[in-house]
Amino acid sequence: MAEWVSDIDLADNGEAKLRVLVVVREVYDSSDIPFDPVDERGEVKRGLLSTRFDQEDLNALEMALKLKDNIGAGVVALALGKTLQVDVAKECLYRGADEAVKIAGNGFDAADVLKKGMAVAEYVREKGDFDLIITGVSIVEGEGALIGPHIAGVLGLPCVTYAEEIVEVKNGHVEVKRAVEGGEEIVQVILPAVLAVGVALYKDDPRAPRPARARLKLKHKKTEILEMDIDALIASDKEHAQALELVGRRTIPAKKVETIRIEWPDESSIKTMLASLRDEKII
Amino acid sequence: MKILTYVELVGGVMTDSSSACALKGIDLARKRGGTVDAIIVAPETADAVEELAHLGFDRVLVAKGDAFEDFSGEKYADAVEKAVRDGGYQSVFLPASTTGNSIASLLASKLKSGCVLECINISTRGEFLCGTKLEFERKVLAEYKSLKGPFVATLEESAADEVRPEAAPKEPAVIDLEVPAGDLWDRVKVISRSVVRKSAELKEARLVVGVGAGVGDSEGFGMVKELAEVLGAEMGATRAAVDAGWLGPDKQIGQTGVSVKPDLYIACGISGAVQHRVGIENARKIVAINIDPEAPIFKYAHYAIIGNLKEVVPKLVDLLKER
Repeated sequence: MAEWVSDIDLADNGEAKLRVLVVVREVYDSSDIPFDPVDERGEVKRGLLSTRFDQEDLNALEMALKLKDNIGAGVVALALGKTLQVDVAKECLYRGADEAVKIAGNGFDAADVLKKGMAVAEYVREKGDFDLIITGVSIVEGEGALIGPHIAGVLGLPCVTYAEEIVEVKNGHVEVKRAVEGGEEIVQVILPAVLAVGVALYKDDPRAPRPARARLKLKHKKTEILEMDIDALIASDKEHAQALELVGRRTIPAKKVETIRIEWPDESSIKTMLASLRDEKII
Repeated sequence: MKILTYVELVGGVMTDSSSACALKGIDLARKRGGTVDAIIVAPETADAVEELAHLGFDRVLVAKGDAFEDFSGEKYADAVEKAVRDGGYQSVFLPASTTGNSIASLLASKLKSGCVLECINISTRGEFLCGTKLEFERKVLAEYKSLKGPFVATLEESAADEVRPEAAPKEPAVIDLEVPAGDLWDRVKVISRSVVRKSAELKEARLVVGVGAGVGDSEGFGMVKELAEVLGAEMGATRAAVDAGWLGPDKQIGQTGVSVKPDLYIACGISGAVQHRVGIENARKIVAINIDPEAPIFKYAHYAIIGNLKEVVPKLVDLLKER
């Protein structure tokens, strides 16, 4: 766990001084699909695919909620896209976010990362008081690129990508551990700033995201989520808002791997495997 | 067509993905009739300029100085943006690394450009540039068209698989690029760094034994190490196993680590998440040992041995020694 050193205390009226926005997305769960995810026309088989809270975005939420636990930050969740199966805005509330809003609308599905980044930036400008904007580093289908730097670029804020952990919050800056090619760095960034979180988590990792809490589910059962329209948000700069268009998708014929399953302690099958590897001059 | 390719240096040396990116950029410019320039952003660039002289670039743009000692997306993107605005490029290619992806995304937001990361191919449709990338955990090819230039893309190493280097390239002109300090330059500072050169032995190895967090303890790790020794194999590790301290970061396989293409990869206690999979998918044969029958790695392993590695690995070692 990080050592939290902070001079950001609660304001006199009890409101948190550090304001954190977490940008989250619902994505297709493509980890274990037994069929082709797109049809012959290249359309995503929406009806057959299940969805989930994007893993890196969930890690981003956890990073924000740890700030809330440790220094009393206020956490607003901003969900992108209309809900398909998992209401990620509500899921943020169930895990401890103070407030949740959504950007969707008819123009959302075909929006590229630039348009989404501009819409988030516009929301941030309207609200005007976030110290940290945290999102996941994953490249979601259809977006093409990282949304974190896009938000940062439009707002003119510094951005730390592939951030793994906040190690310190102090004097108007955060120190962040980030992954770089062949290693890691500790980076100090002055607030306000954007973090794009990418964490290689394994079992029992203390950074692992917390589950939804029953108490918060009951509390937010009837909470209405404010939904903003993406085209209304970017209306003043719409000629710049879309720079990418999907031409098409097609499934790659899967590399046929005939997996030979060996249940331990089936020693004879292991011997056969080694014999086969020797025959092929592999070992 | 005017193409700019960004050259990434780690420890002053051009990365493999940068070389692939350069090859692809040069190839495209030659085929479509255009020019291709390289840009290096680094504190010291002499060795890299030397290395680039024989590849076939028309010009090498150099943004050097102490300001670029540490990687900062803001500074590096400012340098590339300056080059793009001055040079009127139609497309900018960067390697699909953590830094390449970061610079590309930031650059595209500033230029209000189309941006596709981790492309495995670049093509044209009429006047439009297109990038093809893998989606849905590499099960689907998706092609995107850039509606507004300059098109910004990061390229995976495989994008240059079919490209041959130029036989007799000309010497490029070397041009210093002055980059004025931006507003954000003093707002991000690297406090400490722990970066190692990726293991060349591991990348080229014919036999690789991979360690995952599932090795559990030093006893399990010792067994896996013995297996590697008996085989004469190089050892590699997942990010989780590196984090747990089993092997150094130079031995990390997968995203931000090394991509291997051995004849045989034996995965010990590795679940096989996509971050690791991208580094081993070119192995000729994969043997996976895992106690969890549902481990994702079993879906693409040639041999799936379901069992406790502390029982399986010593038996494998014994059988290999028997010969």
